[in-house]
Amino acid sequence: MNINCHSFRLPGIYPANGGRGIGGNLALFNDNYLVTTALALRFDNRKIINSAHRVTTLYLLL
Amino acid sequence: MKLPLLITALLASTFLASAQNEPKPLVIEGYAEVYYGYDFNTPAGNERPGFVVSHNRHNEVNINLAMLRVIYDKDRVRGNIGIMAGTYANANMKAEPGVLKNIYEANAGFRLHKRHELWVDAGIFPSHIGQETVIGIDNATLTRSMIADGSPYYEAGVRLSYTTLNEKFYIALMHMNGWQRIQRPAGNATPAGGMQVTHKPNKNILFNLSTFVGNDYPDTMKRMRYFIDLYTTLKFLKKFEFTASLDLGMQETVFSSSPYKYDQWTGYALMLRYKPSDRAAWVLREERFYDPYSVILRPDAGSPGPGFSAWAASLGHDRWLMSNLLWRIEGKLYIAEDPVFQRGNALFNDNYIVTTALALRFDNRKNH
Repeated sequence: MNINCHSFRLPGIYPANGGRGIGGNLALFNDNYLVTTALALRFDNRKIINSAHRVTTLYLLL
Repeated sequence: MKLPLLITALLASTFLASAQNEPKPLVIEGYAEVYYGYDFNTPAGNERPGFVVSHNRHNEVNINLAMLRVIYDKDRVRGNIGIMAGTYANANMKAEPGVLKNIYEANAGFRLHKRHELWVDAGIFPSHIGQETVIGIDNATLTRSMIADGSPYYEAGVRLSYTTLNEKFYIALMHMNGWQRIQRPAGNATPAGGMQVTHKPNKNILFNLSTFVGNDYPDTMKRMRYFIDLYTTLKFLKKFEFTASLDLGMQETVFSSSPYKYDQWTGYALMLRYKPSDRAAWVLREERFYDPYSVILRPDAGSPGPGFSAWAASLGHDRWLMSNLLWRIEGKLYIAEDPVFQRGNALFNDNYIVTTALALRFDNRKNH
């Protein structure tokens, strides 16, 4: 599983109308600047299964 | 041949036993709460008044919350992903777009210090405000108090938290998207924040302080909101548990005629639970919510004035059919200062409800 937790934009870069247009209600511009950060976490149960396998293998080998 | 086999068996069993004692890093947990509520005002649309977001359907068997989540916690990393459905989600997540309505929580965290419980977490969380949660089986009462419905159940943002080594203090700071917001309202860029301090001097006493500062409107209509939530839980005489919660809030007024700069609201809930055995409990609750400008709770359409002020009391009985299966029943009455409850074509001051629920929680913590 994989999630993107949060995305930030610097205050002031995006317009006052919530980012739906460049320049807000006042004017249109050619440029746009954006900074984004994200935290992603992936986890699964593969290792738990492997540790169980190791126990079984140890038992069988001995 | 027998000796190596015996040693191997002992080794394997020891290894497995130690593995079983360790907490599982990956836990799958499910929760389902089915309920039936009868509102003696018999609302025409079978929906309880708009300020009620939990158990809000009348005269039908329905799901308040069905939730499945995966919990991961290993070394210095943790995360939760929980999805949900139910009448709670329908009622309380109206403002969230699309599939965000179905997220109970989705967050990831990293422990900043090797030995100390100093964490930074980001994502969508259950709210840091209030003693009651969406997961009914964790609450003393079946239905939620007015102060619970009048404060956030969830939040989104970044949290920095620290728990002392003796686990007696928990301190957290939050940067949030807003007051119970995953997605900000259009035109809103005001930073929101909050903090939480929990103190557990011993296993029978808990004190909590939570705060919020933010603006829930577009910046062109900015109205700063300041909020404090206080609660304490006291366990005594082995069979009793007393909880007292107090909420205080204020928001910049929109009424030009108002002599005050802020509209204020307040509320409290007092609960006394008596648990004569592990299988049964009785719960008595008394509560009040005073919101004269309807900053938070709004009465049914057509009621006089903008405000909502009501007193309520409830008596509930819980019975654990199994260790993870709870049946409960509760009678509750509201008495409002103004006629705010719709009954037929008229508005009245009182409202009576009987609710019963069956709650099940399961996980794979034990059966590895």
